[in-house]
Amino acid sequence: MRWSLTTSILMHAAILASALIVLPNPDAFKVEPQDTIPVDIVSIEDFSKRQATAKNVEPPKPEEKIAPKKQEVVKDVKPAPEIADEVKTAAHEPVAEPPEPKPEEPKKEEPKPEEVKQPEPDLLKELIKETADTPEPKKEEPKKAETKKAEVKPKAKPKLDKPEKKKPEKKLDVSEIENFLNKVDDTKTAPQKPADEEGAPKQGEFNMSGVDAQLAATIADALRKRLSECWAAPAGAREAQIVVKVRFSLNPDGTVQGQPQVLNSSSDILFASTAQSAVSAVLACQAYDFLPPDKYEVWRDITINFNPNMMYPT
Amino acid sequence: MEVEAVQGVAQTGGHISLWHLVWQASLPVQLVMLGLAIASVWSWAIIFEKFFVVRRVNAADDRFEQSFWSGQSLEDLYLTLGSRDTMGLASIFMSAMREWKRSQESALRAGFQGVQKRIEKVMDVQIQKEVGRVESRLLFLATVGSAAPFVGLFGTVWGIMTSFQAIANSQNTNLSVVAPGIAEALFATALGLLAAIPATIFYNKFAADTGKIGSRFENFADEFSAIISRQLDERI
Repeated sequence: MRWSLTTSILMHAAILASALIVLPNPDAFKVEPQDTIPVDIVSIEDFSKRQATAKNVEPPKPEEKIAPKKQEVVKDVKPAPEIADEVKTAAHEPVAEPPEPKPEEPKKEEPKPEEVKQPEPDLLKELIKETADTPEPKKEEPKKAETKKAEVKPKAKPKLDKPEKKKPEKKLDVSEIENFLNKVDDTKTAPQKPADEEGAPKQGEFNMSGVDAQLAATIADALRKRLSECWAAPAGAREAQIVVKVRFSLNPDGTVQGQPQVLNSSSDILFASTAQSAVSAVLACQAYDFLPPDKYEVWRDITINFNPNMMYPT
Repeated sequence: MEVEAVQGVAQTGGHISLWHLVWQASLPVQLVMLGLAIASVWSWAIIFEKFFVVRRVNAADDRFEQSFWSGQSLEDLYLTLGSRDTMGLASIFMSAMREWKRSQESALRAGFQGVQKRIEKVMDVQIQKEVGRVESRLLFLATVGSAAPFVGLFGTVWGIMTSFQAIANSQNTNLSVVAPGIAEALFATALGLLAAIPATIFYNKFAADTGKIGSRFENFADEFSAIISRQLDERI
């Protein structure tokens, strides 16, 4: 017994020693001072006020958007001189005055790469001079110049040393031209985009004809909050992206008048149950006594979109 | 203020190496760890001892059975074994033979009915002795196997209580406050399992071995008493 006891003790000692040696020594924990995150508690009213005002400010945006485009058009013209240089080197013509045509008229030069093909230095020189003498104001018709450029370039490609350089330029130009041509459409479509991105009432449309947008947004937010608490969308409605449009009328005391109506329809299997749940949510949430009684006409008739994705943001 | 307190805790309890786990534990946890370590050492000592005891007994039994069934006379076997220290089957045979020798004179007077009974009794006693020798201390293995996890768990519960107190004191649930206490607490459970697992495994093995050895003794005793009874009947 003594022998086995000593063996056991030795074995344990060996295991402990090897564990002390072999087992990795974990790094000590470091306590990093935690930054406090300041949190503002914003009421629904403030939030909707901000969104509403943000929406009002939006219209100037499209103009800002267009303005940089114009600049880009001008910018795009500038790189052209490089090509002009290349044309010259390709023609093996040491021209004395290369910088002259660059800033003013790079476009007129390019439309004639066919002539460059025949290496007649004098002719080229004359041409360059001609073009330099008759400077065209850029901004008058950058469209023309650009379209010309776009048309002509493919021809010039084989002749020039570095066609790769041109390609991106060309692409840019085409898009710019398109933008330019679509200028009118752009201004029309522009205001809609921001509205999608950060428009005030995300969840529902409100019939707020002639009503203060701020107040309507406040009511919308309050209703949305309330309804999202009452509404349990059936499973799968979120994936199916079902949107139920419900219209209902309210009494002055905040109770629902009559039965809410479902305005839209869908072939989706889940739509019926989703619509049913939306209607019952509207009924379950009453009375909406938090709405300001003195603005009854604002919230008498309410149309609201029940969208599971909006109600339960991911 | 809070940050300083947290750093103080972290500096004292920030390491979770094996050494720190033991030395930074609170006293009850340390006692639990010590107890479990001793239990582990002792149970391994028992395991080693039993391993060799079982092997020796089996080898001796094999040797004895070979010579017993080799056809030589029991008297010769008794004489050759008499000088040696016997174990297992040989000791059962020796006790039976000793009793037979002793009761030979009285048997001539009082008949052989009592001799048979006495020899069986003596063999039974010897079997109990031998089996008891083989399975001594096995109960300790069983105890360690069943109780060590609970002892370790006790240490864990205590350690976690301590670490919760550390959380309460520092008013911070930072991982560096919680982790060392929980690590040392879990280390107690680890030690408990470390002691319990081999103890349980080897207890089962040795329990089976002693069962086999015991039944082998019983079988031999039955066979030997059958031989003796036949010889007694032949004498009459």
